[in-house]
Amino acid sequence: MTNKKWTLLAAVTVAGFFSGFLNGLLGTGGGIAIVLFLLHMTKNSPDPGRTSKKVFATANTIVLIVSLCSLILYVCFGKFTVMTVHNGYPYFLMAIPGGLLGAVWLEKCKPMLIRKLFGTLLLIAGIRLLF
Amino acid sequence: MLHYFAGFAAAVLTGLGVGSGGLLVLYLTSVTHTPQLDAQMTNLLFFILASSLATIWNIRRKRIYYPALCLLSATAILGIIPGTLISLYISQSLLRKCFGGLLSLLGLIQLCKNKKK
Repeated sequence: MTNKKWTLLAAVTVAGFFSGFLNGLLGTGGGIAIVLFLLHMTKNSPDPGRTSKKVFATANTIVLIVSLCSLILYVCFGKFTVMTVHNGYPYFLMAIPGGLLGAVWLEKCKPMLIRKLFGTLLLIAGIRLLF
Repeated sequence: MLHYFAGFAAAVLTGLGVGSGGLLVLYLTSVTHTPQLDAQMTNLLFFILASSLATIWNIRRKRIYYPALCLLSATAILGIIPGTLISLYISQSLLRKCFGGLLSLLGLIQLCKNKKK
């Protein structure tokens, strides 16, 4: 294997491991690590609009797999119980229709404005939690 | 009613792929005063449900990079184990501060990315 391929393999390993670690520790955040990594790897794409949608879709799928594994671990440790499901049912009920609507909108909307608003909200929330 | 709206909004953002896990966990801990670890576990199941149909939709639209999916998933699964174990044994307040740090960083990244463009 060439040096370039070893470097790529190392980058993939670190990015993936870090994403899984974040998801395991905090239940979220793994997706952004994957998105940033994939966007960097595809920065010279001839069709950036289509590529970014593919990046988001791929990251979504990776985090789905990772979240499933994380949840299985919590079940094995006896932390995830029927009560957790019971308490979360309003959110679980809305998860499927909302997720499907988001996937359909991905085709039509420009995520830039959403990211800007979302970024501001995350920053304010994060600072509040820290202090 | 508010819970349903919060769940729906978070699910739409999940489907869009811009990330919503932080918002739902924040909502659960701040509004409903759910313990941090319980909020995280609720968020995991929520995300699995929200993104399942979105994933099927994306597969049908041929939007998945399968080599990247396989490699990154395999390495991410390795990373889950230490992350999950640490979350089970550290205090809720420390977990909350880690979460706050992550949200701040994510917010900065989102804003800086937009500024560059």
